[in-house]
Amino acid sequence: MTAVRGGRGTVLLLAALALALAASLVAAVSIGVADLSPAGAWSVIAHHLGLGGASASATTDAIVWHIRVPRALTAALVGAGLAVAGAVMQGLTRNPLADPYLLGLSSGASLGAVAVILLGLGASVAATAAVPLAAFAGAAFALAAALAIARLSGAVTPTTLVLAGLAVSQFLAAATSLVIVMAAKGDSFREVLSWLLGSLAGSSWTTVAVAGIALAGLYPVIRLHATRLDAFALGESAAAALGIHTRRTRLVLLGTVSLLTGAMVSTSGAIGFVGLVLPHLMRALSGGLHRHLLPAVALGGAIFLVWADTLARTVLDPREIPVGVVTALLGVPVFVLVLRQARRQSWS
Amino acid sequence: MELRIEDLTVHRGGRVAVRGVAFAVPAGARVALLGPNGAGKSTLLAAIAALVPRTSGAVLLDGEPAHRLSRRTLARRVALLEQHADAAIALTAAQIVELGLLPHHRGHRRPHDAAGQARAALASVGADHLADRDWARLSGGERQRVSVARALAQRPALLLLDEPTNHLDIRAQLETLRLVRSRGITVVAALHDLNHAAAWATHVAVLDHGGLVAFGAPGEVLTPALIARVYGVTATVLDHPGDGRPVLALDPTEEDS
Repeated sequence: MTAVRGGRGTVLLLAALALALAASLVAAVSIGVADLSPAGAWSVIAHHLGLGGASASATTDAIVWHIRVPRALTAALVGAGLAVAGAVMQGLTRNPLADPYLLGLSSGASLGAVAVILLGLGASVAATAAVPLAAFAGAAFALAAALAIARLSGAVTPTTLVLAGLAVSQFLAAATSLVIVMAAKGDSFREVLSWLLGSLAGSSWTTVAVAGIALAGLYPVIRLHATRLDAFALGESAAAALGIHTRRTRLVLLGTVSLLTGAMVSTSGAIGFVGLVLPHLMRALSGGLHRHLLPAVALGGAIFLVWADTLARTVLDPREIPVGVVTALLGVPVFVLVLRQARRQSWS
Repeated sequence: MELRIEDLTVHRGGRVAVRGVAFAVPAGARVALLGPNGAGKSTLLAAIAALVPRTSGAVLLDGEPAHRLSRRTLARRVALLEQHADAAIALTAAQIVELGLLPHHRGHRRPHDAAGQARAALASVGADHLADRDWARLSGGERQRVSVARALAQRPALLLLDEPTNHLDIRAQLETLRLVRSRGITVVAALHDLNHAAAWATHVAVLDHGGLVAFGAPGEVLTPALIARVYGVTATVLDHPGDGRPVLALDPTEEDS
């Protein structure tokens, strides 16, 4: 694979990805247990958007407008958010394995969200805001803990950071399971699975709003730092010698990534591999310049998760696979291919 | 840019890395920082760029204390090339060079002719043909050339180089030193090769255990006595038959038995 060169190549790549995302959303809304034709599904959507279209039966209307559309949109937003979070973490730490899931941010966010939900704020408006904020606090705590533990061994290297992140991640995942099993009533096993492996089954227009507001608010902050992220590739002190306040930039970006991860995990649990794999895959297409990479990663992450979720809810029909299982099954082979490609490029 | 270092002391990792160093060079000087590993050369360079905090003393750039300048203002005047350039950067040579323009960005906006300026910097080091090549696929010498172009794109008045000839073949070593010559800017380079220093520098500063043990013109400083004291090797100084510059022949000092 050769990365596209220059502005025009990037515009074409982004246009192709945007088209692919639109097509993926159409497909995701049309595919499902209840067999609906794409045309049928889209007449429901057109009807709701006031674009005409015949009003469908109440069942079809509910399936399309209250289940499939919000679910596909949530998947797209969460995929974009997690992939961008991964790209930022990889750029900032110069660590190809940095990703919100591996470093424990997602587990921390899960724990925060679960704790608030089990405190019983119910479905009030307060809960809609409290759950993502608690998830953010959990993600930020996990990140701070991973960095602190990595620092115990001296300098923070990619290896110590990943090892520390794995430890934090495992610990917080165990804590999440414990809290759920102790406090939840009824089907706590399912609950544990959906928080630890991720699930978009709980998607609604509320999750669309939470993920959408987070992405719309935080992506511009990240995009503004694109060139600074490029400079971090040269190393921390080289970035400082280029006039960047490295500590402030890192704080702003890691805070933004924690918020983003918190918001995404609060809607769908801890979905792995999106943040790890997509940046590598897109870097091979768009090149490493962050002002090209970030939008490509966002679109790629959206497409990836829309399809992963479509598979998750249809392959073992009528049962649903946790979407994290699908992202791992799809993501790991892709990751291996990308690693091999990177190796060939560096040492040939 | 005139560079004046006044009684500079820097602690790093809990110990004194630079101890009371003082020297001054006029604009356009080329200073070779010499000394064995751990003598404090890298720390001194980092301190001149204000990347590590000083304990006492000052670095004056055209009379202005470096630590009073903002990071960005400093980056517009001083460029630093570090020792180790990571191989695994997914950028092209031109994209790397464009990062040199960062201190000249307005807020978060890059200059509108950024790409053109990057190409010009590449051309000025004779590397226009590398512009679209991937950094990861460049040779060590090519990478160094591109790095010099990045530093020049910064339009510095003072260029700091930390062992710029490390891991390069001999031709690339000489090329790199030639590239940073005669640009009218002040250059301070930490070097290992005494003959490079003798041939390239206008001033030589020798560090040992963090302190400055000798400073002056290469011909005056690089004496057998000093080299024996600092490096523990026996040196014979010859005159180059062409231009008369000092050429050093080095032998291990024989241990007293």
